[in-house]
Amino acid sequence: MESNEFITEEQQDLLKELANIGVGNAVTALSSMLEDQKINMAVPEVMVAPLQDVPDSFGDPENLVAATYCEAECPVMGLVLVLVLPFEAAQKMVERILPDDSSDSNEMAQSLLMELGNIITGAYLNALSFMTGLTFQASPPRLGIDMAGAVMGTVIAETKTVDDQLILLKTELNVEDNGIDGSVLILPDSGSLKTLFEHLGTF
Amino acid sequence: METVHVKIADMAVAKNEGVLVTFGLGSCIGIALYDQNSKVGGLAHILLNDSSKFSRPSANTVNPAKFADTAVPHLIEKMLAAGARKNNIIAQLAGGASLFNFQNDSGNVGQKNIEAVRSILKEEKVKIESEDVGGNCGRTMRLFVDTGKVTITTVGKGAMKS
Repeated sequence: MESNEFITEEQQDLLKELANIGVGNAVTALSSMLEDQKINMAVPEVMVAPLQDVPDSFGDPENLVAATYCEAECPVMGLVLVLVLPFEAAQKMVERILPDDSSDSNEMAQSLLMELGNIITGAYLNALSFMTGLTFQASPPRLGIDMAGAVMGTVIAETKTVDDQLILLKTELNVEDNGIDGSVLILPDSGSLKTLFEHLGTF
Repeated sequence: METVHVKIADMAVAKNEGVLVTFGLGSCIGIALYDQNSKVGGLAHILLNDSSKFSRPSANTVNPAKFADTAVPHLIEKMLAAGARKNNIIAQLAGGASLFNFQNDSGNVGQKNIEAVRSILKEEKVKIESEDVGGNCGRTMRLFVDTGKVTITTVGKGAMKS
């Protein structure tokens, strides 16, 4: 981790702490849906990367993933939160949570994945509100199942970022004994970081 | 045969041989331009429709390949420099999908990208030979520079529960 012209080392630490608390809340919620199964959470990474390199940072861009996408905003800033699960992990998660008699319902599986996105977003935003004093409105989650590269490209396009360098927060999760892994990504809208740091600084 | 990977908000030009490939076009558009006579091909992977709607004066916003309106002229210029003739260039398009459900079709990024690329190609008087755009699936696009042939691949989406 290095300071650069976009973000100082201290600011990166602040973002990591935010991700740590927010995603930590989310993991607790997720764990209770999985009958208190232990979920491991990696130390959040702050990625400062050229836009071009972001889609490839999730492995093979043609790998199939299930992603839920939520936008959150308050009057002074916005961000998007994305839960990315490899397709097999998403399938395992659904099988684990849904009762067997609903196994014929693809619609139910999709609702469940969106609900997971919702839970993670809500938990993260609670932490963010607590730390900044800002109140966020979150959009209903949207689900996309497709190539990792296509999903990430679409997410970046939806943030309408104009910058050639992106800052994003990535926290990897895995469910013990289950082989379910995934990542939570947080992308602040371009221009939002400055506002965020101002609010964190004054609180 | 050399394969060049064109990343998001990126472009490349090749002559006579090789493959230009861009993986995972979602709402983004892949624009393949080709001049059959000189065998010069170019591929761009654009992210957004119109630089004037987004750009703020910023040293961090310099990449012309990000936007349809700046990428197309830039790609044509690079092809001309490689020996293509403007009048011979034809276009093939892929992408502009809506991957996420509940997206409003009239206002989504993919649809705006499709319209922007069509309009800038018309302005540049470049004929669109084929399109595989819209819908709801991600695409990988390859341009074979020896022939000008374009292939599009998608991934199969199994049911979440079988």
